[in-house]
Amino acid sequence: MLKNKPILNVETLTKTVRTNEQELKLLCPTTFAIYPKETVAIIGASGSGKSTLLGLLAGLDSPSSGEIWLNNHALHKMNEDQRAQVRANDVGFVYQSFMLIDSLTAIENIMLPLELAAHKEAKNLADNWIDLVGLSHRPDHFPNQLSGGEQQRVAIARAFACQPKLLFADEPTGNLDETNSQLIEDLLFQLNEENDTTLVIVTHDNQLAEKCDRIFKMQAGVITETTAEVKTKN
Amino acid sequence: MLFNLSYRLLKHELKRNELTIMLIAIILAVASVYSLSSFSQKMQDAINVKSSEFLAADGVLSSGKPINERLMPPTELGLQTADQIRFSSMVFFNDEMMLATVKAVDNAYPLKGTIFTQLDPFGHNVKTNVKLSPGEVWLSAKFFQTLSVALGDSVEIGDAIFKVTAILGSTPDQGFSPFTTGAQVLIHIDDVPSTQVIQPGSRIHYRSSFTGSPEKMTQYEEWLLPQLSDDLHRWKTINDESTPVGNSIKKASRYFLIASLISVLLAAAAVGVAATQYAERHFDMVAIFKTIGATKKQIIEVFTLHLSLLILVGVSVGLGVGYIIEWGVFEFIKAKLPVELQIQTISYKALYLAAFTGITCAGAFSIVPMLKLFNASPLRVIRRDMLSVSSYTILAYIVSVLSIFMLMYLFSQSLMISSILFVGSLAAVALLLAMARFGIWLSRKASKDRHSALKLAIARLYVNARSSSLQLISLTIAVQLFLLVLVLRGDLIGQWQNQLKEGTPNYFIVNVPHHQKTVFETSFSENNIEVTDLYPIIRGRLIAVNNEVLFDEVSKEKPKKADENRRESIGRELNLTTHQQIPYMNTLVEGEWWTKSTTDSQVSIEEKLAKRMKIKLGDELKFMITGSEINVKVTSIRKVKWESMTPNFFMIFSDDVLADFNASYIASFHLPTDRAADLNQLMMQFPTSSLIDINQILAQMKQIAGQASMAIEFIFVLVLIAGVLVIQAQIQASMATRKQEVMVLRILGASSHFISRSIAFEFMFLGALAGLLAAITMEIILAGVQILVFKMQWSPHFEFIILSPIACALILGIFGQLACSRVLLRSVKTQASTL
Repeated sequence: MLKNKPILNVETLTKTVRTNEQELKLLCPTTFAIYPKETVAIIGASGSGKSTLLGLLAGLDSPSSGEIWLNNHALHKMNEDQRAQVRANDVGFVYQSFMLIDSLTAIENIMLPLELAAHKEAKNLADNWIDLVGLSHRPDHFPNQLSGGEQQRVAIARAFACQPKLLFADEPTGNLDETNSQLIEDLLFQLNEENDTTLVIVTHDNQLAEKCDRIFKMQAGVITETTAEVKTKN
Repeated sequence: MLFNLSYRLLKHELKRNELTIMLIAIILAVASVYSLSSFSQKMQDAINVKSSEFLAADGVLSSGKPINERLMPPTELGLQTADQIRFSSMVFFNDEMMLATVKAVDNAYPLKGTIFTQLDPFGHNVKTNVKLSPGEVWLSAKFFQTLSVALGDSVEIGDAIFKVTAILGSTPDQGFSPFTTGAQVLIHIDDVPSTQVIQPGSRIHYRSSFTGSPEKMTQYEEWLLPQLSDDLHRWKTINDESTPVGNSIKKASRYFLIASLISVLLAAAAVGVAATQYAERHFDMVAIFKTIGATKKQIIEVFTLHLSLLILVGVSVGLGVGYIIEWGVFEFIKAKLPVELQIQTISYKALYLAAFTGITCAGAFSIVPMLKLFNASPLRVIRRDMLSVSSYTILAYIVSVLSIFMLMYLFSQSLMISSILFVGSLAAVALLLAMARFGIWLSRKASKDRHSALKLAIARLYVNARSSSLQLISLTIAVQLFLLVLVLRGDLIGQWQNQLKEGTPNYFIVNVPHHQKTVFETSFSENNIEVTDLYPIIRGRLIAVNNEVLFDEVSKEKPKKADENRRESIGRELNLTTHQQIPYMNTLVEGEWWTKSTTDSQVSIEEKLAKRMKIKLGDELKFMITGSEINVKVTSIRKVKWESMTPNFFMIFSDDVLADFNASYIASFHLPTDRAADLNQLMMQFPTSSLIDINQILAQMKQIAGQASMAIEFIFVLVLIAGVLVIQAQIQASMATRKQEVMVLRILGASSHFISRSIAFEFMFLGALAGLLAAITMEIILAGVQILVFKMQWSPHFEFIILSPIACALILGIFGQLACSRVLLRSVKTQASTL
């Protein structure tokens, strides 16, 4: 793969929190880079710091020290609103618990990021995306009227609707049965390829991780690239 | 674009019943304020109409000199006016004469109320609409008895001759003054010049009466008052406490106010509870919005619009519901109302007030939860336990609390009433917070070895100490305010009933001469009429205080420089009396009442006069009574209720003081109206005495008190509903957070019986604690309200310390159980659908 300028560049990133007069290191100094169109998996056990790292990479949280460059934006120097702006333009999300808005219909959930970005064609684009994820027959259903797999498809459509450059997926198949997991994984990779998106998946499913170009492993706040090791083992 | 998003969110959430609590809270606030203020306004208007009959107008301007034309209301105000001249004069008939209080009235008289005439002297009063024509005179029964005059005869007043055309029963504005010397006579105002009674120096009383809409009357009053001179003019309206019903009206309207304020507070509490829940419900949504890239500005825009639309819906529905409640209540009580009420009309003042209250309550109480909502961290999407903090929380709390105070002040226009309720509630909150924490902690210790459902209930309260304390506070405040309204209602209605109870004297007899006293007493007792109070009356003048001779302002001599600080005299003779006990409706402010056998010449003086004359306990007063000087010592100071329908006195002596004087007597008694005819016969023996019939005034007062009591009952019911809804909102809110817990307990195998019992225990415990704290804190506020606002005596209500916790425990237990069974049912369904 052509190694051009990274879309996500992390330099000696750390995160510490204070609890009861004690400093707790959630993330040890971390440096790595992710390049456009790559698919990257971050694996690790519960409590290893995966969610902390994801929060920082997506600009949901601010680091204690170090630098994060996302598509040439210095996230570490930005305030919350500026980071939100970066997310609106360049980032998409898919979560384990789908995180759909319960009181909006499927189509309205897909329209949401487009509306926030004041996109004039929000409705048409959303119609197109719901079609792409195979739910054009259920646009007006509320999340609780959809199955888990269907909800995740709506979430994927919503994540791709604004054509992000970087897509973060936090355990995207964690709440799904095997069949649905397979469907969702396929959809995610297919749309990622079609839209030239960079995909960062946080998971503890090694099989899912293997489908990615690169694999990072988190252990007690320390990240190491283990692509070769994991792939060889399996 | 964002408006569409807010609108869509609201539409779906409303349909999915996700905003029900918030919506009900706003609807409740608006509906109760609308129906309360509109109802009390209409009721008060109706009461005012009734009471204005006491003045025969809405306002009366009186003066000892003809009233200047420039003080008359400008024509554009459209007020109706009636002029009257009053004076005392002799009525002559066949060489006999009798002193009369002459009222010369025009064709517009009376502007309010009715004149009653009698077919036979001392007979039944009959309403009349006939207007008195010039040349006619209507005489009261006493003239027919004393002068043996008959209808159709001619009598002389001054230089004019009048034809007697009716027996005057009562006029609406005759008032109650047992010391008026002459019997009442009505002539036409056009006849006054021909009587020639108005001469320089004669005592004439001019009155101009006005009536019109309350707004126009207020406008006129505001324009008039600055132009009046204290020495010359007197302005009287029905709201003056000196009128017989003025005090009741004032008390009723203060009650309306307090009850309305309390319903505002309750509604605000309900909105407060609901707004917190509203924010909590939207935390996840805001976090998702933020991860998708929404800026804070967009979040603020979407959710402010969302809340505003919700408030708009709530306010509109609330106004509709308020109107329906008011209409329903009127329909229900219509038959019992003695006066017509303007039911159909919409009160715009109430409408604006209710809408404003809804918006302010919802707005003010949403500030803190909304600030937290705007600051919800996007990290919640990964870490659900992320709490939201806001750096402006304290400031926002201050703004919320101050807005409520502002609303209370706007509502009551009384800094005192708002402050008592506000500070009382704030102090209660602080006290409760400390007590609640301590109480819950203590129960936790005590429940260690108890039954497991009870143990779980207390453990749950303990774990959620912070939210449990808040829950307890809102419940306590609701119960406390409700108890306050309940107690005030009982005390007010009780006081009115006591004032107008069966057997209240309805006749007064004045001028019973000393030599007829024994005859009077025996003849009345032979006729089975019980004379309730017999006061000797003698007129006298106060001439010196502590040997300092009083300076008479009417004296033609100018006071010398050194005399300027001298005390002024009262300026007129006083009615003096003796009495063994402190009279009914009088209260001692200072000093002590004398014993029956005292011989050391004591006097009790009325509080305001004592203040004006700078008289203190222990001062020596010198009176001039029929040419003799007497010295008395001030041993007590009394507060007198001038509006009470009893003879009231500035000075009351101990029995020994007037023993050597020949006094005349004044007495009161109760006689059923069907025995009125007996009086004529009885009164024949006392030709120099006059009878004052106050049946008409009493009947009017009873009607007004009855109406005010009914209004108070209605308001009480509304406050009750408001209180219940606060409790309901609180239970609903806490149930929402309980769903998960119930699910877990079910999965772990807990029976529905166990879960519902533990929740019922929890609510019963919370109810008992809230009930107890409410009863205690209510007494504190009650003492403030009764002493400072109602000027009533405060006495503790110990019964509530026991009743309130029991009632609250039961009510909350039942409510909790009901709400819990719904959650249980839902949890069963959810379990089924997950499987």
